[in-house]
Amino acid sequence: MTNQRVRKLGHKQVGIGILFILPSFIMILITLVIPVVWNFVLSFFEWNGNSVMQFLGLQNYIDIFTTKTTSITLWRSMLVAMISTVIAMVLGTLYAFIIYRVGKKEGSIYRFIFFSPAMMPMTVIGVLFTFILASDSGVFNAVLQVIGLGNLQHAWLADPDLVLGVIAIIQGWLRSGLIMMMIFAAIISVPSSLLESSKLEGAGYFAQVRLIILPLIKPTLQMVLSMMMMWGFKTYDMVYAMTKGGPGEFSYTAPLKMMQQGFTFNRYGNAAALGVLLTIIVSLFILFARKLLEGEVYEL
Amino acid sequence: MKGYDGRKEKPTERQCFRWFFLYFLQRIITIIKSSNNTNSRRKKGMKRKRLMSSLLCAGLVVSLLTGCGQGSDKKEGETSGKEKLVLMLDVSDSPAIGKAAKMAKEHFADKYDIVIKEWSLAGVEKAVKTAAAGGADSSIDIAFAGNSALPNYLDADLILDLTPYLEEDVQWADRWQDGAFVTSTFDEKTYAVPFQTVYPMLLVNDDVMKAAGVDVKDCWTWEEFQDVCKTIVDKTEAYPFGISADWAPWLLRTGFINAFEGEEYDQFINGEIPMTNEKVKEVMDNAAAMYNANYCYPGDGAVSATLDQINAAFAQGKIAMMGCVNSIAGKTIEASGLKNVSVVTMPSFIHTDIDTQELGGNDSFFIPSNTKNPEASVEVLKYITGDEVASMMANEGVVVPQNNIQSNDPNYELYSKDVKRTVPYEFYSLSTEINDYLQNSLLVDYLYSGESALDNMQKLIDEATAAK
Repeated sequence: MTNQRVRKLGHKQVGIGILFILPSFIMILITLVIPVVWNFVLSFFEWNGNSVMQFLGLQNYIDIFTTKTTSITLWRSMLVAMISTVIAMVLGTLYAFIIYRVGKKEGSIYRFIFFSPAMMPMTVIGVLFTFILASDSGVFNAVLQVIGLGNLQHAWLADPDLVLGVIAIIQGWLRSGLIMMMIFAAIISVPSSLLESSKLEGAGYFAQVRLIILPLIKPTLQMVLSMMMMWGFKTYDMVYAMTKGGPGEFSYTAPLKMMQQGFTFNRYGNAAALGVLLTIIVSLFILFARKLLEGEVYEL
Repeated sequence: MKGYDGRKEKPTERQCFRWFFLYFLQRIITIIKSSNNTNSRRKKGMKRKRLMSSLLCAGLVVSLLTGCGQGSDKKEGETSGKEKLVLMLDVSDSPAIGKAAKMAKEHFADKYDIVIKEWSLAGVEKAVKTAAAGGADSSIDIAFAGNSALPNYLDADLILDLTPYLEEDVQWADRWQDGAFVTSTFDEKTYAVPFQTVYPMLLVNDDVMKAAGVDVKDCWTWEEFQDVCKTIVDKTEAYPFGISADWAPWLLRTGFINAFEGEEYDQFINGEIPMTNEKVKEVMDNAAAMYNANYCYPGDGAVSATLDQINAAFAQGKIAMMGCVNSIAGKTIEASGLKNVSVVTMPSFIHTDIDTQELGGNDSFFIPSNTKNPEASVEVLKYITGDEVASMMANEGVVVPQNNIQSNDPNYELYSKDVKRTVPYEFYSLSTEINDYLQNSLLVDYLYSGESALDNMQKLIDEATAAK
């Protein structure tokens, strides 16, 4: 069959086709395929970046699970990913549905306001929030004091029990603008005839959202959920800008640990193994999340 | 068109790329010509698509060629006779180091093409190691390291051994004061040359002290220091002490240095004294007490205080005494705008019957082992540690650990008054992991998890001593 097709197209055309694909293929090979494969291979070796590589088998993986300070970073990454994903998805979806309801002009202003944090670099937001959440001179504690909730004041970024949650909430809020835009784009592609006819049948906005819009935008929801999960697990810049993993190592996430293992302790094999494990965990979580949202998909 | 065989010289990379590009152009022209010959509308559409694809492909090739062209341009400096040297010495906290790099660039303008890269505490390790992974073509030729950072580079075989160069040029080696190479010498090999002596000190707001009725002493004992803290809390609104999270481990390190003497100290730094030792616990408890008693600014959250927060609070009179480094003390006082500030020796953080000892050592310049130009790098290194640059640094307030260097900075004596108290060797040099745990986690873990922090440290010490 393939040979027939080749004959039909002609070797010349196939050759040109391959030639067209070649630059992109080379780019993907160099920037994605080779590093991923190399990272996987490296995870079975001991290498300090400058020495001869020594094969260790699964030792790097065993070390990760037997070293509490390393294995706990995977758990922390999961926690940040879960909290930030839930916040971003809930806020983003709510924003989108509310903005869809308001007029075009007001909607565009709200969209700009909610989306603008997503346009700023993570590190800038991180540094900004270190000032806002500073325990003594921070705006947040000052506001709590002014509104009579002084007893809720905390050292938000210095309390080991709170720090990860705070970072995850900020990350979730930051991403919610982008999630809102994507969901909003999906909502406006829902045919207005469907909504109008349901209105004639007496359906209110809540019923329209539940019975028409949500089922129709399910593929978009699945996609943004997967993206949000990936971003959550990869959390590095936000943590680094806000706490550098502190206090102590209480907010060290897996990507930060990878950097420490690689660049500080010269254990590139261990860092690679942690990367492989993180990839597997992210993939499993995304599969699970997509399964949760699985069901009938309607063509628009 | 003549073939390769007809040429005396082999074609260069650039010529090959040019021919490749011309071949693509030729292909596009052929497609355009063939598209003009067909009458079918559908076929025309197909041809147009193909044409567009060809143009896109050509665009990609041009991008590739441009990239390659830039790469070869960079090497032009080399062909013009000037070797390229990369100095990672633009340090924002310490303008004197950046100035030294600029002086080197000017001094060697005719000989070397010197590129100055920005140095940052967080980024230097990654930059040097990534550059090393890229081979000699992307090497950094001279970099700056704090005295505790060198073992990390050494573990990765990333530092050039400077011993032969120092032995060869005795005049150069003799510039430094006795003991200056203690923290850059490992197994009798010297891997870095020191350029500044750093140690911690206290900056004291005299106005707050006056309000508390406390006389400022040049060096308080640990017991006196505790009394001073209590008096400040009782009589003023200010916090007695402020120290940034990055520098908080000084409390422990100073305590350990003062906890043991002579042979006992040697045993401690070799990991032969367990972390369950009473003196170790006492140091830990004393440091923790500073936080638990809310002596450290801003009370709740003091373990995460940033240097900016501490500086701001000191300038606002919210802190009576702040931990600082001698190399930036002058600039910190100037930035605070305070008129009455004293410089006081850091207390010992444990009862001691001898004079208080200070942690400290020399920050150094080193040459990464993958440098393409070791001889040229050493030549530049000799210049930036020579008379001209060292004098400039001393005039900028840097305490230079060299003989016969004079400074015209009126406060030079003040910022170098404790140099003779410094003890440069500490137990963190046993391994990078110990250093990292001590610098980042030990105190916080002890505050939140108690003695399990000491167990963690003991485990790291056992691993390090077993490995040795």
